Amino acid sequence: MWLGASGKGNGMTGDVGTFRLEQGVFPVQRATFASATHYHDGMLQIDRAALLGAIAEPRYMADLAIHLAHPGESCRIVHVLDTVAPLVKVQGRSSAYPGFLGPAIPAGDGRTHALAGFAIVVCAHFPEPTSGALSPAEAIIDMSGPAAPYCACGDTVNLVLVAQPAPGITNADFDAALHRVKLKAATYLARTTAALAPPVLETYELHAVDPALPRVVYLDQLHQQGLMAQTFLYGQHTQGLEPTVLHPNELLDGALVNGNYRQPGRAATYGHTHNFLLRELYRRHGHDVHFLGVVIGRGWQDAQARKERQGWMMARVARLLGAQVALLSADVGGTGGNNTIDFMQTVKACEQMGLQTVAVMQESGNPDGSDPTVVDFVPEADALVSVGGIGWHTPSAPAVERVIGGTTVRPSIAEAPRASAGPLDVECWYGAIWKRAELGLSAVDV
Amino acid sequence: MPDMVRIVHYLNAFFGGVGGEAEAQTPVSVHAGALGPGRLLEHALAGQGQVAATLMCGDGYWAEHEETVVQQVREHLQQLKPDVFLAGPAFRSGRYGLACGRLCLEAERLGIPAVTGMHVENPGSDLYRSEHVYIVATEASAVGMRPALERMVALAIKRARHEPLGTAAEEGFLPRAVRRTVPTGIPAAQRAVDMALRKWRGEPYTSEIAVETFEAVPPAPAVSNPAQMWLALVTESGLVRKGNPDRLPSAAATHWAAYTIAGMERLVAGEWDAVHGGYDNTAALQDPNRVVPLDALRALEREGVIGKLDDTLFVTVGNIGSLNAMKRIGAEIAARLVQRGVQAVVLPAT
Repeated sequence: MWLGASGKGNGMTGDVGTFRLEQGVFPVQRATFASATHYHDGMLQIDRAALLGAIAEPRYMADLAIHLAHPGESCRIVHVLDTVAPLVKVQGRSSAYPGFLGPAIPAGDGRTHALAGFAIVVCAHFPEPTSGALSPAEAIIDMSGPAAPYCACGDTVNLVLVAQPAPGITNADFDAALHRVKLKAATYLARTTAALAPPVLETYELHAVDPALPRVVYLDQLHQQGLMAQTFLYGQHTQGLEPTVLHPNELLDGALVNGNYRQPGRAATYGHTHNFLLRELYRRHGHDVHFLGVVIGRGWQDAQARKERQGWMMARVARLLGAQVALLSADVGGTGGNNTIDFMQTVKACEQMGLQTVAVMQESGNPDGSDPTVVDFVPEADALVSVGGIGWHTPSAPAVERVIGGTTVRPSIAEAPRASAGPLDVECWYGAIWKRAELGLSAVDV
Repeated sequence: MPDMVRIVHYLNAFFGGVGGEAEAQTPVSVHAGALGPGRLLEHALAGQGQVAATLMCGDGYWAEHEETVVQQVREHLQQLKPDVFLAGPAFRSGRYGLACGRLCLEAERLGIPAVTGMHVENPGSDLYRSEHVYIVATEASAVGMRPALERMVALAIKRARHEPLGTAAEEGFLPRAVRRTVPTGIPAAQRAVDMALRKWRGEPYTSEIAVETFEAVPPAPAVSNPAQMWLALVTESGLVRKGNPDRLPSAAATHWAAYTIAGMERLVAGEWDAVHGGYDNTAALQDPNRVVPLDALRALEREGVIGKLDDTLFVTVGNIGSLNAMKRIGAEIAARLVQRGVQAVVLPAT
């Protein structure tokens, strides 16, 4: 009830301080470049020059190319850094993507318009050398063919931004400009719907429910290590973040923005606004669960003691919210090495504080599946859901007619770069972990 | 694909019908056709195969002459050339289970599919499941002989005919440390909430990943007289010669590299790359001695605190390392070090 308590005011916008979100959904089937920017009945027309004028960052970017890609096209998008859902706040106290596009005022109230089935994709190479954990990993989207179902945003109409850094710009400055550009583009395009009546209007609020239903929190472990491997909360990186509570509507409105470019299966800004566990809990709120809210915290803590502390800090917030059940995921489904330890410590702490805990994880290891597939366990982790990840050969992709983002790709630094238009055999495509969760993949003993 | 599956069956002497005090100490013997529970086994085969021979050995003899028995059984299997090897079932009998597990592993090494059966708490289960042996789950005692043999036969026929197998749960064998990704048709979020609600209501549920315990690696005893010792530097930091000539990957390495450090007082920035994908390599690139402290070891060498530093630096990448690959890499490097007489290793953490 805590996050749902609205006192009085059940009107459209609620009173000050409520979290009642109406989302007007405008599906996009097709986008074209045109002389004006306009949405009508599933068709998005984009004035490319006007869009560029609205989002350009000439001080930081020598060039910003804008492309379109549709599902089913023989098209490949390479060097993908992030994907973003187009959102605009048409009524309410905050902006969409608050902290970036407006002051960090709590989002999740009023009305937001969203282009559905459409994503902004941002692609770039960084100007300064990077190495190790704080460097982008190659991430690729195929828009058709056998690999497309394993690519996040392989099934959305995509506006692709390919940025070239201005001479002498640092990685940090270039990255900040990339965030501004993608979010400005997202809101610029969604604004085409501001004056239109939405074909679908969805209302999100944590209304009062049968008190007998189990009280459930969603614990979302974020990725935060440094530049190229970070998550933003209301415009601020989460390096020193202590676990805190978010209303699910805040995520739907873009309170979390992705700046993590590590493994290709990583989280995405699009994934934060479409978080699969959050949406499932919302769908079932009042039916078989009482969804209390979201607890976010930073994974990838730097030492064992901090990982243990992190687990307890997450669990205590969940417990103080009154939760009986905890659902966990990390980086929109991605657990790998280091962050598995924080994750397991959170499972342990939740169970020890009396919460019935279920965690969603990926598995990895040898393709033949003969290695341990999870690097850390606690005995309390007795209810795990797997999104698979071993012994599943993602289909090889044939050559494509068109590539956006670069002429070469390098999926592994152990191999030389190769032509990006050619046939590709990639185990982990862009956003593959989150796609595996959606597709319903799991793993079994064989 | 054989129409009539040719089986060799292994039994301990008790189930082979040897009575009295001689039972445990019975050495390996070969018998044509089925023996003891092998007859029930043939019944379960229902005409799909037959037991060509039975190998028998006492559990006591096994425990005292394991390698001899293994050698003899290997020779018999090479002569008998079965389509599939069946052992037991051993139920909860410890020595029998250990024999069945080991002999199935040996048969598999000869390219002969093998199936055994035992109770999950049999010590042979933990030991040989991790070696990927197919062990059908059985009752604790011979009361469960018939269903155990039926499940073993069903699995053995499929394996002999190289037919695709279902999951461990479907086929009835114990998890054998091999996992595969499969489609469920239900999104992870829905499965997770469903599982959470079952757990909350106190209803049965099955975790999709079983908790594993990892082998503890006890620290080696302290080096007693380093001043007399020949030391080597080994690292999983991914510090490689400029240009990564050995093509070490940033993660999931399956090989290692060796570089000479003969005559070097320190590692010089610019001559080395750091390809490990799990840490920020900036500091290592600025001064490679931060991850591979050659400078400090040379100082200790000059001061006489350590004896001699080996001329070769051994390198791999530990990031997201496969446990099996890392065990092999460690053993390979160790074998080389032992061969050249190195007595101690400095393995700096990254």
